[in-house]
Amino acid sequence: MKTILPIRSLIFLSLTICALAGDEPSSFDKFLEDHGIVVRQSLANKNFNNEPAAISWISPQGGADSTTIDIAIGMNAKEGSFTGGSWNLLPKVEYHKNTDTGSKQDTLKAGFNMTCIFEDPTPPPGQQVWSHYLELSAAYKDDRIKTGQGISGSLSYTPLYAPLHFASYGTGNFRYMLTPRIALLAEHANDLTAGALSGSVTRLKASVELSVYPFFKTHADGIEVLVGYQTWFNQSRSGPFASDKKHQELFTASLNFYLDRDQRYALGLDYTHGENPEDGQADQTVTSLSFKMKLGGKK
Amino acid sequence: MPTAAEIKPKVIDAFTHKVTLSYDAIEALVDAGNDDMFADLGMGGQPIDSMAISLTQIAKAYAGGVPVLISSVRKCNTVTDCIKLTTRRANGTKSP
Repeated sequence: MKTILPIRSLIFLSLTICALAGDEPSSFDKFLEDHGIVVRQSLANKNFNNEPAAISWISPQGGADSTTIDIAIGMNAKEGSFTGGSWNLLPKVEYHKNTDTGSKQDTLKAGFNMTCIFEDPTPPPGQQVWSHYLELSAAYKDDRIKTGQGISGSLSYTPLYAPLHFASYGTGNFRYMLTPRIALLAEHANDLTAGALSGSVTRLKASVELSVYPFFKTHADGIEVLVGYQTWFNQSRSGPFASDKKHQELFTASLNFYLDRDQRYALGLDYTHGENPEDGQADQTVTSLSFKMKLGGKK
Repeated sequence: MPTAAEIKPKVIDAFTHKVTLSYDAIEALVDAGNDDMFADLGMGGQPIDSMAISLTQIAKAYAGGVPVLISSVRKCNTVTDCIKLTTRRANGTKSP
């Protein structure tokens, strides 16, 4: 297990950015909002779509320092509506890098997300409605460590229902939100950069994320705990995916301290255990301190 | 030409389907100015996106009404913002 630490550098960087940003949305924030631009940890992997982008410096005892970068940028491009539904299209680019020798990662993705939301347009009075959040993603992927270049696609489903806290926090001082999700994923890779064989994989994925604001009233929403579990069941593996385990899983836990009222900048303590085949993240157990940035709205 | 006062109860009713608060509780929050969708109503980002559907239903019930799109709802922080947005869309104003 690896741990962190140039804490002073992180705090200095965080305070500098927050001083520049202030508590009020800047013209830069306004520009992002007007153009529907969002910055997150990942837009391909929906379990991290509400997590801020993160830059971490990892300094293990007795080992070499390493850096991780997880950033995704998307821009709202096209949208529309129909009876009982609404949709939008978001082109995106994301980059994930880890320089640690044992868990190297260098993945660039570019593509789009298309979101469709459905619900009963005429629910009975006073009755909470189930909404259905479907997302279709397709991306070009350049994994310079494992699989080379290729394409990936996914279709995911998330139910929304306030009484069960599905994607809703509720009210009160202790707040929590559950986000369950199922997805079908497919990926094809060739040997252009990583020297691996061509091949493909299809995956079934199930995940759940728990977001907790333990002291909402007393500390506003400045303290956030995120716990996530994702599991992939790999089918029809070939080429660079042939050595993938049949079953892969990832557990993550984050404690984020937001440095401004709009939840744009944060210091985060992150624990990761497992592997993430979608982002090319190798099997690892890491604890890290990160500077985080979530732009384009806190939601 | 629908007014904000006419649209307000319809929008509040739309919120009663997405949160566990009653109509009266939401109205009280709106009147007190404590109607942040995240902080006061406890909504996550996806339920806020889904408000585009019911707000579109309200806006398009008026002649000349245009859809309320997801990107517009994302710019709203409060129920009051949603009332203003829906009123503009019900009057056929496409942007902002």
